[in-house]
Amino acid sequence: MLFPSHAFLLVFLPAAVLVYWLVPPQGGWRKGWLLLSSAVFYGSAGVGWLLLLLGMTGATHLAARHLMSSARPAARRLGLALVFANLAALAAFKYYDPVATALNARLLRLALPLGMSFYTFNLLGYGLDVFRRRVEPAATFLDLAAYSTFFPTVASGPLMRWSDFRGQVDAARCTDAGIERGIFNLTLGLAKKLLVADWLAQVADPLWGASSSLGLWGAWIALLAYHFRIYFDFSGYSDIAVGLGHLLGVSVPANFKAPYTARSMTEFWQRWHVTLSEWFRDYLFFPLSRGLLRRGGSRHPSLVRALTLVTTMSLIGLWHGPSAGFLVWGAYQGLLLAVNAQLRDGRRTPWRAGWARAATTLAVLIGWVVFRSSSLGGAGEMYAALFGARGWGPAPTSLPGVGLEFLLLLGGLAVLTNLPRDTGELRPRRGWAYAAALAALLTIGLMWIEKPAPFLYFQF
Amino acid sequence: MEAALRALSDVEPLLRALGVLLLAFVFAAARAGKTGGAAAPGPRAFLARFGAALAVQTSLVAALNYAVNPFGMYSTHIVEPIVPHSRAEKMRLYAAFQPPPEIVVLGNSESFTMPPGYIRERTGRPAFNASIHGGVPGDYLAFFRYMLALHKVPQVLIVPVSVEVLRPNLPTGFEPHDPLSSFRTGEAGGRLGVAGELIGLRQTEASLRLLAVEGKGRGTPQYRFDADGFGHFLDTRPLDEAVDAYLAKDWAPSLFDFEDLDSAQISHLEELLSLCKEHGVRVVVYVPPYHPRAAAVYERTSRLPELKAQMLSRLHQWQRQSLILAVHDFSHVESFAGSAAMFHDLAHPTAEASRRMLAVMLPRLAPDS
Repeated sequence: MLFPSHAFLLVFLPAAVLVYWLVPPQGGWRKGWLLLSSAVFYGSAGVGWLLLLLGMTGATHLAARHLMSSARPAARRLGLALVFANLAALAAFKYYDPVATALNARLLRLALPLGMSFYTFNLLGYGLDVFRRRVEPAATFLDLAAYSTFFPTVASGPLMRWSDFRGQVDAARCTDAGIERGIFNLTLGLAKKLLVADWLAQVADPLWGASSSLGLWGAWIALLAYHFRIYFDFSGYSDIAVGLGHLLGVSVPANFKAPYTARSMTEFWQRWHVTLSEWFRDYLFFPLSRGLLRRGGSRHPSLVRALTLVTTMSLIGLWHGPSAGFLVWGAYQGLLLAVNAQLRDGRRTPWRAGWARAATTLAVLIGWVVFRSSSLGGAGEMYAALFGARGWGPAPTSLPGVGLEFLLLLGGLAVLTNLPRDTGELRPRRGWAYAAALAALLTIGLMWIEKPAPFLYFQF
Repeated sequence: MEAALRALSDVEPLLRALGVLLLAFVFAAARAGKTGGAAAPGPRAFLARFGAALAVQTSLVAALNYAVNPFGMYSTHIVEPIVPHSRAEKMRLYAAFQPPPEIVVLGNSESFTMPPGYIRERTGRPAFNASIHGGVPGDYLAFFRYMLALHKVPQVLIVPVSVEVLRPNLPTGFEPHDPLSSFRTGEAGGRLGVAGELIGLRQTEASLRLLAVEGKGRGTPQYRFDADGFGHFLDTRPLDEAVDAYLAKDWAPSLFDFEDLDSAQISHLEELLSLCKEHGVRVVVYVPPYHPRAAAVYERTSRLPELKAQMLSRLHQWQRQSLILAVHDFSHVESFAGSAAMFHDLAHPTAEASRRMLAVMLPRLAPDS
């Protein structure tokens, strides 16, 4: 069941939300209903996948509630090992077959369960926080399962810490303002995905498929279309997730904060896929930095920082999938962040805002080439076309699917993505004209639901 | 008036542009911060206004589609519906056909003109053409399951397989309420599907197009079928004009701009072949021809040659595994002694061309072969 589907929007969501507010919040009724709704939602993608998610949740609950709270170090270590077993399960599903193919070993042929990369990180973060005694473990399996299976975020995030989630369901109150924001985010998210991202994909995918024959025009149009597509697709999904959270009275953290307005790579990563970068910052970057500094790195703090940034970002790259392209993309992001930090330390006069924004956008665009290409060879071909090695190529309007209206769309999106605020910081106006425009947007979105392309981040 | 009717005929780009403009407006005009001034209406007022506007707008769309009823799904009958019906009709004809056919052609409109009468004449075995509009391997598999459900399984299947039906992001859902869908796995439908379609783009587009058609006057239908499933093309345009019209369609240049064949359709085809083997059905596969002018354009400007090589390699692999009896590549008219005149348009060969292809294939299908 996809968010943009009639089954979800016309049946599942109204029923799930209505009963959620009707059942009493006490005695586990509301949480029980939430778990049941989430199980139906996630189970519709595969009952086996649901059982795996519940199994991993059960193991984490056992580790956090019973082993880590023990006074015996051995029990705590066993609990930690059990939490890390989640990571091993993710590795088996996501990385085993590609590695086995490279090593010519026997394949397991496991399909990656929907959202596994996201819920594994939620469970892992929870386990680590309990181990470090930063949070209390969930009192019951129901509490933790309602968190790990939470249907607005289970498929593709945003990642949500246990400390942010706990208590919210019990304390939630149905308010007009919450429903208003929920509908606003849901409508904007659907429109971003169905009307913009899917249109861009329709044009960009064939162009990327023929990257070896593109000229300068075609390559830049393909790259810009992908640049906007990945933002509108993923931020559209995240807006829907945040909106669903509002409908349930649960505050889900924003994943995007107008990332294409960033004036440096550091700022870009504070605005792009925020919950993932914060997760890696807190659970990998900081512990790794501290560890290296303690082990003699304090004499070369800049080197330690650069090394840690490249390592962290390379792992973020590999989190997207086991390919050389993602690894190179991650390492490239790490290097840019390290250079950015070094320049900041040097207290050089900052660039003027316009130049800084243009340079950051260019750096991001260059990164998308290797991120999007199916191989490093393919990325090389795209770079060659982008830097003019194959000449201008056919004029933009003679490229398949690229008409004047598509070029206008790209121009309009360049303006829209340079506005200083993202969906999370906006509220609807309450006049008739605005309400009618928002309703028309939802009506058109509902029309477009018939054939949505899958969300890009489902593959990760 | 002419321009308005033309716009109604293709409303999708207009609606999409309107949607994008609305998104830009909603985004740019939204308020920043938490609340409006003291006199500003509260969230309840907004919800009431939004709810009323949404109800009016969706009701208008639903009312239009219900009244025009473009696919003949509801009880209204103000205008004659557009009902593509090849699947339902072929299923009905197949169920009624006697004696049970021993040789069946299972494809799409490219094989509408494969003549069962000629097959019977050459082999002495009853034959049926089960090709359906917009058919792809998933549909072939569903039709074969339908044959199994009827206990009317042929001994031989003739299946056209082209790169076009193995491309990713295939347009599907040509026929509303496709009765074959109950023979596919994992398909939604039922009342929810009907409710969703009532406010869906496909039906809204069809309603507006149908109104435009009513304004301009109806054309002739594209085809009709005989009792043995043989299809007659009724388009009377000159061949060159028909080929030009096809090549000019905006999707034509990008038809083969993809890296790999669609894994879902490949697996449907493989499942069909396995099912055939399990039931002792022999399968002959052929690659259907394009009009020579189109073949030259595609081979010169697209990835068709590489993709066809990929497809043939897969077909030959299945042939080695005894899932396929024979593979015939009729991509070029010379391969079956055809000519450029033996087409209705770019991709639909005439009955004469089909007879010539059958003349190459049928010797492999003698009962003792």
